[in-house]
Amino acid sequence: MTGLLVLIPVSVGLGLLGLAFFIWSVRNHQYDDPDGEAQRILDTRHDDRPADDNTSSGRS
Amino acid sequence: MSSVAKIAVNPSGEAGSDIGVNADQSVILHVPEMRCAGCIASIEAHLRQLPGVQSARVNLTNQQVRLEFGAGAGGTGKFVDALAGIGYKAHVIDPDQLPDDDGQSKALLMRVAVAGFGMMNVMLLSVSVWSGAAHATGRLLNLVAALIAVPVIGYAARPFFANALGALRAVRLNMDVPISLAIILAVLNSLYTTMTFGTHAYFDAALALTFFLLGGRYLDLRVRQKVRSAAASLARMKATTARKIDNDGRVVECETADLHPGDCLEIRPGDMVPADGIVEAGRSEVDRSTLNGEAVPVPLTHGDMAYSGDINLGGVLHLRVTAPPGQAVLDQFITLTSAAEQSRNRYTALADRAASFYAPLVHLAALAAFIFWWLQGVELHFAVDTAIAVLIITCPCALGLAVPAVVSVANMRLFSAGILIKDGRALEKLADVDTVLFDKTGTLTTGHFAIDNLPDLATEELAVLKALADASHHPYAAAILRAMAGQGLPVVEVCDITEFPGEGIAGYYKGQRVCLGSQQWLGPDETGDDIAVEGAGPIADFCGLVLRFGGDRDYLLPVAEQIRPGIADMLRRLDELGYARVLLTGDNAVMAGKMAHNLGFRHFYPGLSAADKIAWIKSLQERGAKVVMVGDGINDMGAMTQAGIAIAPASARDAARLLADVVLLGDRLDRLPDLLRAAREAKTRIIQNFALAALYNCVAVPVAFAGLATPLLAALAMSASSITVSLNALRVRVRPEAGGGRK
Repeated sequence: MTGLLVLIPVSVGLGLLGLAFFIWSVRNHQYDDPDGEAQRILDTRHDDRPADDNTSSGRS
Repeated sequence: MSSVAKIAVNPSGEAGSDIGVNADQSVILHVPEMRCAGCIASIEAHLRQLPGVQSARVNLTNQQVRLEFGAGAGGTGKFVDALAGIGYKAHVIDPDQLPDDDGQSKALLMRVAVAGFGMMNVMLLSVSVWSGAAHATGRLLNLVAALIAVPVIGYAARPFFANALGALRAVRLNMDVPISLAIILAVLNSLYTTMTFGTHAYFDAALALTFFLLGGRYLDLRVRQKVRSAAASLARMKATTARKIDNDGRVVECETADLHPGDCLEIRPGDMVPADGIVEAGRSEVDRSTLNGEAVPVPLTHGDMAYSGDINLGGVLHLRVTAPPGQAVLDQFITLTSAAEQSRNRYTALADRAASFYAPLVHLAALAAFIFWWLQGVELHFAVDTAIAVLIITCPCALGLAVPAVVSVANMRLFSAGILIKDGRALEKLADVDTVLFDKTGTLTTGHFAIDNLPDLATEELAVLKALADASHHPYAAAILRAMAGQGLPVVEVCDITEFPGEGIAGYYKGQRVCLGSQQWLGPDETGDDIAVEGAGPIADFCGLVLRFGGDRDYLLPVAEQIRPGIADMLRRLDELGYARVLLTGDNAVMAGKMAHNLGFRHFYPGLSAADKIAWIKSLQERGAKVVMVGDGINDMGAMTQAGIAIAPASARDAARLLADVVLLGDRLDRLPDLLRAAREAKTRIIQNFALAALYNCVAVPVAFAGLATPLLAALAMSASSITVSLNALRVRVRPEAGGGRK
């Protein structure tokens, strides 16, 4: 049962890591335009990031 | 109605966007027609190469383009023109009308994520407890669950608490009250259980409830956001500058907002009148369709009133401003509109009706369970436990999802079919509609004129006609030019062209007088040809123009309002679906009658003023009809409000579009039957969802009441019902676009 003392913090910690990652992605404007990003990948012109902060963050 | 109030305050919307462009501005354009990677690439590339543009970024989800530009980019109108040049319709979004949903949706998404994180972790711990962990281990697991659940709920469930508190303050019950109560009581009870070494902790149920309901709300907001950005774009650019004649007689440009009563304005042909005023000099005709919905131009001369929104078609007018912009004749429409508001607000959404019936029931059931068990003499903790189990089980996510899931699915699918639902209750209201009322000008027609067939003329004569039409701003002249487009006519010289406002235009070609104008103006020709037109006055000149060469050769040009494409087909489908349809118009009986006959309207009512339309709708409603008004003009606004639900084409006037519950994008009225059918189907699904939720309660409540509910059962029942309801919502279909043909 002592294993729980290790495993529970580990599982919660991993969960928190995932949550932190998700929150980062939301703050990074990755959820502003899901349809657009889905289409941009088909563009031949390479576009390797979601948006410059000064172009898409205006309203937030 | 805030949108109406807004008109009174600031009718020009985008004040000053065309003049005084400073460095580093930004503007958001709404481009409804972009759909694919190709559109994104071409729009961004095209906009970026315009002078002064620093960056252009497409947001496909919201169908917006955000532009940053510096000095030298010209007005925002240039961007709209540039996009029109590559085939995309664009509208400038008035930032004032774009609510800050972005922040709101992000915050909600965070809450969903946090609730999801909490739910999964606590569920993991709960599964161990359910599968038998007891004593120290069980207590440890519950303790860890409590440590996760309490802060998570404190953060994630705050919107419910805030709404519930708001409702309680107003002494009302909404669905958020039992939801909050269930969450709070479940957490408190579980904390108590944890402290007293119990096993029935409901942390996971409280979190699951929060997560599912937040998810529903996030979807709902996402749809609304998309829709709002389109709605905000409906603020069309209006005349933002005016030409003022100052005391020295010089003409200076100034902002519309700076006009005062007493100012003298010069209105050139093609200009929009920026403020109400009296004509002091000049003679012309104006297009007043903004206000009265009539396509026939109004002649103006010294002493006549010109109203803001009029478009000058003829000569230069000098105007003495009588009312500052915004307090103009629009007022009377706003008064009419707010009077009709009552009828609009009388409607209660299905969800609210269900909640007002259901919320007390939930509380009573929980209370009854508590009292019953307490009277049985069991220990207090068991009685409380049972009451909470009843509360959690009767307060299912299913009910919270029943309406939003259907509405968001339907809205999303309608939106991609080019139908914009602005008001959440619009679908429910539309489902009950049995009578569709149409305005004529600008709704069934494009608001332009058309000439179906030009008379048999020699090339030279056609060229003369073109020269005459070219010289005029009159909509009839534009119709003539459209009819002749692409014929490659030679350019001929017609000298001494004079326009007679309200009458016609005349000039000399090879020494021969040529005239184009109304019959009354020209009079019968020398051969005495009587062109059959009943009545006199403006009716006659509405039905046709006469082109006269010299004194004897007359040609009749039949002018008619251009009917939108697909209207006849659309009306036929409405008939098939069993809707009554009625034509209400401010236009005269002859013209409207002809059109009503052509389009097969059994009921049509010409010559109605805005107030007449309202009275007419009221009487129809008193007879029990559920009406929807399809209109586009300021003069339809009262009727649109009285009808309780209104639809406008995207080309409608700003104010009317803002008022409408549904906007048909791309000016396609032919999707109207699809909309009505989708609304009916959505309502069926909503009712089915309520039935599913009720069914689930019928099974679960007796179990909970008997004190047999375990947290495991609650978790299973909750998830199962939520999933059934969501799946049922996904069945709402919108007929795919006939023929496709979009980019």
